[in-house]
Amino acid sequence: MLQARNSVDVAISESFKELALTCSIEKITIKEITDKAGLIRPTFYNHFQDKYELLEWIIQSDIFDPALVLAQQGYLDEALLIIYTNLFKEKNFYRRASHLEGQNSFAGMIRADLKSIILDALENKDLKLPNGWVTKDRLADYHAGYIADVSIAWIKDNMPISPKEMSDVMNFMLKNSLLDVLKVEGK
Amino acid sequence: MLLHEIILIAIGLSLEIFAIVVCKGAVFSKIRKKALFELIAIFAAWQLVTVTIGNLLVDVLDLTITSANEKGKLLLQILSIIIFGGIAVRMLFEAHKNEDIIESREDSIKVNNILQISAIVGLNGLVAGVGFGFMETSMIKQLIILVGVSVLAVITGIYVGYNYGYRPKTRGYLLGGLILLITDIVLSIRYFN
Repeated sequence: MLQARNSVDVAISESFKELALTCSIEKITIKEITDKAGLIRPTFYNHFQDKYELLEWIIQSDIFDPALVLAQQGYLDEALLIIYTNLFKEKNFYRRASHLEGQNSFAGMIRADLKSIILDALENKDLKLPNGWVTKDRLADYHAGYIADVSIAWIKDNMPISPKEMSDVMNFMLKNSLLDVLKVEGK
Repeated sequence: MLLHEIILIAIGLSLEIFAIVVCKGAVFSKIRKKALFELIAIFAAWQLVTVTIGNLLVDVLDLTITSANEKGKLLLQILSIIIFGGIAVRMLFEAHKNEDIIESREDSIKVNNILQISAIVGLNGLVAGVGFGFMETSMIKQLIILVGVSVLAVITGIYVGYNYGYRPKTRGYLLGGLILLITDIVLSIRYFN
């Protein structure tokens, strides 16, 4: 899951992030990315399939990898804080990326990465699930979905609350079911 | 038709091939000779077959300028101008559309895919063959020039796409359309003077 970063990958990704600040991601060409990175155009394809794979790599290596080890060791609060802090550091880039829809949507990428992390966490756990239809895959899918939705809403809203407040929100949502919240409201 | 007119029309038509092939070069991670030869063969074959069919169609229907009466000659000249003018307008429209493509690495040549996207080249070849046929242009000259220029267009297109991406395709369409339009005007002046 942890990705190797070499200097060319980093140069390409930095170039892409700078371009995305002034131009829609759909319009950015590979020539523009490599020109800005000071590389010849064919170099790009030695590292990435296309700019959407590049974006996936950026999300994985900048956002999720730094938090992965903590998440695997059960330090969920700290892992979430790192994720939201890293998103916040480049909020303009992620806000623009969040508008990517369709086959290569930003939401799809985030959701896929989150699902992978959750599945990893569930891997060797013996879960007491209500019936056979609820598999670890479905569980991971469900949780990845709402975490991604809330996170993307925060990004699209230009991150109005701090990363610490956002990780507290996510902690609250992860630890309290809807029924728990309704019971509290009912008091 | 005069030699320089055939050459100009061939260049104009081949710029559409250039525009198509630029998009293919833009997704190569490396230019492999096998892929290059496959593309050359596909486009050369397209031109060879469709131009020949266009000419044969005219022969079979006996629609050449020498077999026509005065009114018929005028009509054939006008049709020939309309054919090349029509292709020119379509290419200029493609240039105006300026469509983006998704640059995703694709090193193999999928023959069915290439045939699909180059169908328009086949259509151009067919109508150009008809247009040339009306004017009783030597088929040998047509084929040598058209196929030769097409091969150059493929090679140039691959290298331009590989090094500069797909955006030069718009210039290809624009230049091709303009060359055909100008040639059309030159033909009109010569025919109706």
